[in-house]
Amino acid sequence: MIKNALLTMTRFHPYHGQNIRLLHDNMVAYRETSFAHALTFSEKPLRPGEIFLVEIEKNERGWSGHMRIGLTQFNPADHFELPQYALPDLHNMGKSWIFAVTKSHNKVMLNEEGDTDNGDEPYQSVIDVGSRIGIMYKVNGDTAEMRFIINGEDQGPCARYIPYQGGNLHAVVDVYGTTKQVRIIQLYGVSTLQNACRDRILQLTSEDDLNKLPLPKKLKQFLRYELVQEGEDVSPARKEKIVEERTCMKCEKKAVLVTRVNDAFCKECFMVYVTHKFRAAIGKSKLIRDGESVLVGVSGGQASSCLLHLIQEGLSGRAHKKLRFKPGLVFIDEGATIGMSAEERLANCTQVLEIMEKTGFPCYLKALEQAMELEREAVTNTADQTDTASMTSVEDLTKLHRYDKAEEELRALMDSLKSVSAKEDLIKSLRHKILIDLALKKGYSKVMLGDCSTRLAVRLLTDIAQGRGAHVAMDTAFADNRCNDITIVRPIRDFSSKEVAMFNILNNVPSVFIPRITTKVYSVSIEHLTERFVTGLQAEYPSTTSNIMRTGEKLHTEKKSSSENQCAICQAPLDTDVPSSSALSAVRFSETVSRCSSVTLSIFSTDTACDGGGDKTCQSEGQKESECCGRGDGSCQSKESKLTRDEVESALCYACRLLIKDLGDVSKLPKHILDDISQRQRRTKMKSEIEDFLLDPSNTPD
Amino acid sequence: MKTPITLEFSGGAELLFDKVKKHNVELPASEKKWTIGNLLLYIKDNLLKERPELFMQGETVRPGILVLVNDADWELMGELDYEIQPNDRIVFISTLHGG
Repeated sequence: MIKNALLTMTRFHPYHGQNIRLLHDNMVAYRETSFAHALTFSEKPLRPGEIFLVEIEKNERGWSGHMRIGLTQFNPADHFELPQYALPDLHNMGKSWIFAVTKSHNKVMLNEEGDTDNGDEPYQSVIDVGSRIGIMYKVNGDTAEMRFIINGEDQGPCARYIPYQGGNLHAVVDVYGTTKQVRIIQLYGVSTLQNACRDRILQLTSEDDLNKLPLPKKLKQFLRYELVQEGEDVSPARKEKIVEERTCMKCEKKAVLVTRVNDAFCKECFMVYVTHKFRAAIGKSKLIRDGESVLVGVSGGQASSCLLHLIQEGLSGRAHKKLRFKPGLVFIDEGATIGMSAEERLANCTQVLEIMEKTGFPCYLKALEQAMELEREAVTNTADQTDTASMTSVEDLTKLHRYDKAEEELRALMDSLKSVSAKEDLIKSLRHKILIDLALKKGYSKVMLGDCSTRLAVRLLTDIAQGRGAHVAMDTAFADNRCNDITIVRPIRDFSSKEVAMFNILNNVPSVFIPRITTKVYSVSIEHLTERFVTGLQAEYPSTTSNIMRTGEKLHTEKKSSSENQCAICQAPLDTDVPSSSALSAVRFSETVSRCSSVTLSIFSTDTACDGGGDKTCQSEGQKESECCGRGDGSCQSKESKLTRDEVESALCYACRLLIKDLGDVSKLPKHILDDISQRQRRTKMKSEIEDFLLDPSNTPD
Repeated sequence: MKTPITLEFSGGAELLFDKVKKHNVELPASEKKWTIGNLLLYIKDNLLKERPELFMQGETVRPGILVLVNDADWELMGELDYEIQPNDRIVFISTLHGG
């Protein structure tokens, strides 16, 4: 018996007689024509006790004699000149022990009753199709003896005194005479279940019947060895190089664009396809109702301009079934983040406003620094038309300078963040805050953003890299309802950036390019790097972004509804209430320990009022009690103590905590965020004070 | 004989060309036919003002930059092997965020 398990499959050696063709991954040998030059060898030498087993798959009548099988010490890898026959030629060359399989070898009963359909022989002859013949050698002292195993029965030694130590012994099969095709039966290789099933099916069905099997197309290809499985590379579809003129896949006219892996479209069909996709995305979600007020975020870039154009088309009377919502447009000027001059900012805003105003919808202009000054309470019911914080005409642009103080605050905040990834992240959160705030103030129930699939795929991977894995589904789904009152929708999330660009060209959609914090700089932030990665992959493998998006759709987390459980910066559900044995707690513990030299720390305590100075002279002695009158309705006039870093962190999700790690002074955060956190702190404190008096809802008998 | 063509850059790519979006170029006469591959090298040597790695990657354009020849996807024309005809309009659109 074999002591060591062999982990590879048994195959025929690629060097063989010229009339032989090897099939099925070199496990089947087929003699194509004639009757000589049909020698085959095992790929690897046989070990003592290892059985080399073949099964006869095809026979051909009209010949005399049958297959030969045996052992040889000639090495097929030497590519020695092959004789015509195993017997007598190879045998006469020496170092070979070969035997012919004849009818007189053992016979197997066809069935138990002993009756058969073919009148003549009640026994299945060993040379018939289905017969299994194997050889092996057993060590006996200094030499070995070879044995036949026919249809499971050991025939005893047929050759003795084989000097196996003189050289490796390869199995030899001469596919001779009536034997036309033999297959190696895998006895040892760790074959996959699929491979084992394939072997069995192939033994039981003929080539023609394979097509009639009720199996999916891919499996049928696998059976025909057209599809490779594990061990060999299963690479995704590579982009095909186009060699001749392509015509539109729908109407056969001249094609203009290749998209969706490998489909070509002409201009008209592409427009139909795009419009249909847009409408379907909105219609299928059933989220946008007739007459609803929707705020559309316009950045001036290609994707949002495309969205704008689609909305215009959809709302116009020309459309097949008009869309019926009421859009308002908003542009957020982010020039303060890169230190743009006032003239440049003015120029950009003018350009974008011109485009927006041509649509005829109400337009708003905001600046990112306004996020530093937002009021926390938003009045949802009154649509305040006289809100001086927004402008609706180009002339009012000059009033931008009003926000100089806020601009300085924003600059200070940006400068205190060291990494560009953190800056980008914060800008995104502030941008969202402005959008939500404006929507609330002006009575919009939805916010529409122009995120295309390429951007969202990059966003997905970036989120995971930054620790926002829990919010991945929200960030890239069609509908994002992290803020309970306002839903963010992304109608063009199925459009690749290429489709967007093509749409803009074909419809002369104007767009404005405004540089951002990562423009013209080579890979300084996680998002930028990820974008390079994804677009690079997409160029070779066109199904990359759709694969990423499809996977992202399947990742969900439970949503907790109360506002106490939202991150103060990004509004996503807090993902930090994890069991105490988690990695997050371990990180926090090591941080606390490394900050203070004080030994009397309690684990997971947020009472260490250490402000994270990081030096060993920490003199903090515990939190100072703030003198609160305890009314809790906002009328408290007591002096507020500064929020400590730990308090701020407790109201943030994991990724936002990493964000402010860079921040030297947490008080640089926008005031409304700090106010929000303070209120939560006070609430929690109050709750803990009156905890004993609260009725436990689960205990009240009902 | 020279080949007059129009080159356009948008989506942020114009930043690398002095913010000029439209360029009318006459490709000098040469024995080899002008293909997009040659054109890219010509652009790199003569028109690109800064940061070539933000426009090209090796012999071809950086992934994320869409190339259109006479308003049609260059993939349908043979990509780098397309032979440029006089008065062709070739547009380079950057679909990337950071330049």
